[in-house]
Amino acid sequence: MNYHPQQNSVYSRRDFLNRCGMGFGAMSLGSLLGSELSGAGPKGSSTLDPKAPHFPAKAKRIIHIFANGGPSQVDTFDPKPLLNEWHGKPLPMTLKTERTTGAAFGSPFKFKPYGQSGTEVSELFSHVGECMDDICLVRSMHTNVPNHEPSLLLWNCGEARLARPSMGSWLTYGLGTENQNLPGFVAMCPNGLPVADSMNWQNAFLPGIYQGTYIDTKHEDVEKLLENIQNKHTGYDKQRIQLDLLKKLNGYHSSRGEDDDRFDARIQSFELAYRMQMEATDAFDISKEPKYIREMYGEGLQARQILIARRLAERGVRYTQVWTGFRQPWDNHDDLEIRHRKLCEECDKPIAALLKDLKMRGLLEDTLVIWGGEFGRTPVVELSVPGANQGKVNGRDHNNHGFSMWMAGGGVRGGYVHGATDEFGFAAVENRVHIHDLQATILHLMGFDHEKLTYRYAGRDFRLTDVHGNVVHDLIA
Amino acid sequence: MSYGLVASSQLLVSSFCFSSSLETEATAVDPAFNMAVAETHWAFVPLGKPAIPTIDSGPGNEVDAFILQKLQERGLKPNPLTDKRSLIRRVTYDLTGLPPTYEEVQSFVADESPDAYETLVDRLLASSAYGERWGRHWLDVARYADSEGRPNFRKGNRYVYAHTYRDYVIESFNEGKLFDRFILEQIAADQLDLGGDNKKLAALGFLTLGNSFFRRKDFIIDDQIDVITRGLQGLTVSCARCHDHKFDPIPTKDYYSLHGIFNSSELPEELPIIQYPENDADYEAYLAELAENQERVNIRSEGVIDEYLFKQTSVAGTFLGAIEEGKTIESEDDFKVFSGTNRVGRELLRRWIDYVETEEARSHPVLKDWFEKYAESDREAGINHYNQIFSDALSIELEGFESVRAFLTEPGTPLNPDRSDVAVWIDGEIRAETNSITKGIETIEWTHSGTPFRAHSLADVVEPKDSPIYKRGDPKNLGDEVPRQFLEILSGDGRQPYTVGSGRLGLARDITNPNNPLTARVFVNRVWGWRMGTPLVDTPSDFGVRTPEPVHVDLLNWLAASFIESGWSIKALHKMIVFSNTYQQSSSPDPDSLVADSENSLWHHFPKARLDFESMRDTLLSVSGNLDPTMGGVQQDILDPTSNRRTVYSYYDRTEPAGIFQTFDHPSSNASAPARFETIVPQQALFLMNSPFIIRQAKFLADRIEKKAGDDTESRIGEYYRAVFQREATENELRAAIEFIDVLEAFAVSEAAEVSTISEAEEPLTGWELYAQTLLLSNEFMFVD
Repeated sequence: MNYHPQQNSVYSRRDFLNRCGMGFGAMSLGSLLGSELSGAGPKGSSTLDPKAPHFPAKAKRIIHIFANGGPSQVDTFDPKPLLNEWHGKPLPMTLKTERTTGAAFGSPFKFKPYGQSGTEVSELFSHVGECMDDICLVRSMHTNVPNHEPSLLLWNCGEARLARPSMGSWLTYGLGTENQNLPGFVAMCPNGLPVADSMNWQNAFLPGIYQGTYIDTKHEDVEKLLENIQNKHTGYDKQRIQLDLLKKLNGYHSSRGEDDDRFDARIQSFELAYRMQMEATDAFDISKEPKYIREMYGEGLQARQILIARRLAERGVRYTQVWTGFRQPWDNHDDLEIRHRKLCEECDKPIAALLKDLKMRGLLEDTLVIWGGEFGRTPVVELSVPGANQGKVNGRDHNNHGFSMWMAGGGVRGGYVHGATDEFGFAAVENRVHIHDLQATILHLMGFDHEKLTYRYAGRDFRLTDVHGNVVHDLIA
Repeated sequence: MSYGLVASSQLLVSSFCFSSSLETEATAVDPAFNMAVAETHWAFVPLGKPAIPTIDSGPGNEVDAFILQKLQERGLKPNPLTDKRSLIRRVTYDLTGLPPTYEEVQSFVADESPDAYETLVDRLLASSAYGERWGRHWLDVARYADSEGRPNFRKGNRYVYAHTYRDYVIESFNEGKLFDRFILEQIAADQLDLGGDNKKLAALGFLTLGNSFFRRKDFIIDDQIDVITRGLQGLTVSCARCHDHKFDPIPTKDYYSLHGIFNSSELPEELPIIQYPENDADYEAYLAELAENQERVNIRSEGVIDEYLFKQTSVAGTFLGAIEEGKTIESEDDFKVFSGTNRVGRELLRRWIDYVETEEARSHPVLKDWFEKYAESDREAGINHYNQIFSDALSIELEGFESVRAFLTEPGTPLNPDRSDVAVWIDGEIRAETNSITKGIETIEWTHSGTPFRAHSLADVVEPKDSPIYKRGDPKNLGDEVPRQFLEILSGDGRQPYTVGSGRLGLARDITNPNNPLTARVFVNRVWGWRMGTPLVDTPSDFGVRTPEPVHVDLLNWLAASFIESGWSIKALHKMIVFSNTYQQSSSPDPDSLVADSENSLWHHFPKARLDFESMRDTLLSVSGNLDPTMGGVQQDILDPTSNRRTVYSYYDRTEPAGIFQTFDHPSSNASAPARFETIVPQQALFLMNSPFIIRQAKFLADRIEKKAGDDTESRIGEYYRAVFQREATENELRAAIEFIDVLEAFAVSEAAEVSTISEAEEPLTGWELYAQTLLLSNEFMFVD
């Protein structure tokens, strides 16, 4: 797909943006990978300078679309004809999930094969279906428990209950960021926080600069998106004069024979902040996109935030998380058919647009796009219990035993389906992939040995995957 | 098909262990360490007082002798003493977290008496700002926060009374509390003779203000063990939760010895009131509001129970039918499915099942028809009939249902359970329904001026007991019980189990025992680090065997031994350090010394300090003239730009701290913080360039200077330098300022003609206000020589 007229200019713009970030060199006080990563003391001079990972990386940045609440695999990416045959009858097998469940609940959605790979995808994701040849689908995911909070934390931080750094924090700690004029790790969630709140992008014991910057994408006004990004009293031109005075005064101060690396770093930080005001405003302003691009993504909040994610990735943000919304939108214990359909109507087209857009810009090859939730849903119907789900029997319970996720770009094997659930789609049975395995694989794609990206804290070396995780090499191209 | 389900216990283990430990059982393997070898580790050997090096040291105190010795071994020499202005700035920030005033600087510079410095230090140590500064250092160790960690369903997330612990800490530093007493109170205030002053119960916030971990006791205990052992002993005992410590001499059984102590302690039913509001009427109003809300909770709860019983009564027929159908119910899960499917209360279904088997039921006038007419032959009609008559019986206006109504109140019949039992069955529903009211109660406690202050206290349980070892950290896989006692490595041969209460007091006494090799070492090292930029041992919360002996081990030991000799006096410890020449030397490094020791690990110069978050914000308030010196009390909202109290009084939410805390390297409060990071990032600059808070301080500063210095440009600039930097402006600085004001004036003229590139939504700053702000952004403002 080489027809896009702007392709070359996009590339050069990106390079330009990357170079802007290099002015921060004054802060890299011997932050050599290996020495720092294997156990910086509490007085670490940690910075966001770009750093090299353990080995050459396939992916340089991540866009992680988090379908929080738990999308149903048997209605999206894991067709189970047998389940529909058993519809309404108790299954010969059952597994314990969070709530009480009943008989088989066949999917109300139609599946059909897509692309050269012929992977079957449900009508809910007909647009994403068109991209299946670029997608590496894992149908054999499993996680530990069928509850939101621990599963979200396990996914994001590798640990279900205790305060541990999130994957985005680990990656910005390990890699720095490509553009110093923007935060390196951005978590977007419209209308409020997901379950487990900002713990999902916490830095825990890593320095505070590695925490995800939360953006409530319900706002369209950039000033509400990023704290202190604009000055209501002073225009850019006057601020420029002010910063020139500051530079001069700081110069007098330094020239009094009291030099210190930190003085220069701090002078630089004001210059970067000045540029960040404009850069960030620009990055979040999708009205700067040409009309045909906006049309590709479509209308609505999901379209807007997914398009912002592309603009951020393009500008070198290391890890961009796009959450569906406040609390747990995909948690359809009731009315699954109606609600899943609505959610997919909002996100299917923009997700597909993202993949196509990245591809035509040449960005897909080193941008890893991840889609999925904290777990899946049961192939059996959830029964109604007093005090819950309003007496409806048309939804699915949480399911940690088996679910689907997919990745695209960033060195994964497109058009490939990994693993399988049982014949009803309840549990992963073939080539099972645990969350820790997925994390190990993602770190691998980003150039890290997950056992060696560590941080010494409280007497031991911590890592994202705790004591677990195996890289799933089949997923890698 | 194999499903490989993961048991929850395995999850628990995984969080704490190294991979190799998963294959072994903690109690069954040889310890990874050798206790006898560990005993020779530099931090575990008994604390002796090293001789002061006899070197040609010139003037200076004992600290200098140790420092000089190492410098001389490397052929280095210390810097000369710094100038007096720098010295008073340094020591004032160090001891109070605030800058001196211009007048204080002038009078110190002019004071040529030999004890001028000593007088200054005494004044600073006696000021109340001292406790606010050093109390904050301690709060980092205590992983202090004003919230539990996450909201729970029953009540809000806040520790409404956390401020009583914060204020206890500040007061303790201010009154010069001896460190051993400070520890005793924080671990066991409830068991000490407090001389009738129960305010000191607030000290227990050290143990009780950690993350609440969804009220999981074992996690809370682990956090308590961690804050005590890393915070006070420099030992990572939590590593021994699932297996013997990999490196340090901490067997798992020692972990569970401590576990027993904290498992035998609990929060009191009601947090004790330690201070009543000054105004009685306020307090009465508070009590009345609480009572009113509690009454609303009670009424709503009763309402929920009524609704439940009403609903369940109106499906009496469904119950009867369900039981008839359910003759095959065998397992608990099936039972759940069954009761769920039929939308009947589980517990009531049980009562029905039990009841219908009785003779009484079969012959009961109300139920007779069911058994005789419906149960076997016409069940569906029977279900409908019985649902109908029980529903109708609930409508008091309908007549003719006396017998059914009687059935509902007869003793022993299924539909008149104890209301208190029902409250337990449907606890979740009651909570969900009363949630908004109980949150309102928290809001009253949080905001009402009549709220009394309470201590986040701790108490022993009635029957303290030893804990068994959780094999591999799994509470379902119990090993032998271990006595409640202190760590073996720190006890010597005479270790005795604690026999009084939970053992907390015994533990506190073992930690403050002068023979404990770690307590004093760990604390003096923290104090050195907070003051000198780098601690002597660079892992302040880990003195374990993997931590090598520090270069200045003798200095550390000498300070620790002297600290104990002084009776654990923190103020005496401060003086030992701030009176040294090492502390008073200049901060401009000698280039040759830098080549030899670039990290300044031998202290050949005093390291320049960047203001930490609290000092920065407090200084901004101070120079703008806004600082409100009121001490203590309820938490302040830091996001309110008009909040003028010192930063230590700000509300800090454990899970969702205001962004500014993280931007400026405030430590996470999820665990005891060994030290703070120091980062320099553009977000900090954005705060100083654009935040409403900085704009406000700039305006107040400009206003203050204008009032003081009048219209003359040069005298204004001079006044700015005296106010912000406590010195006179240089020629260059004067010129730069004049130029800036000129340019901005010209700019304002041209600006009037054309619209600026960005909308100035609010009133633009004047040239002088912008100038004032610029000084507040400068490096000289942010660093202390």
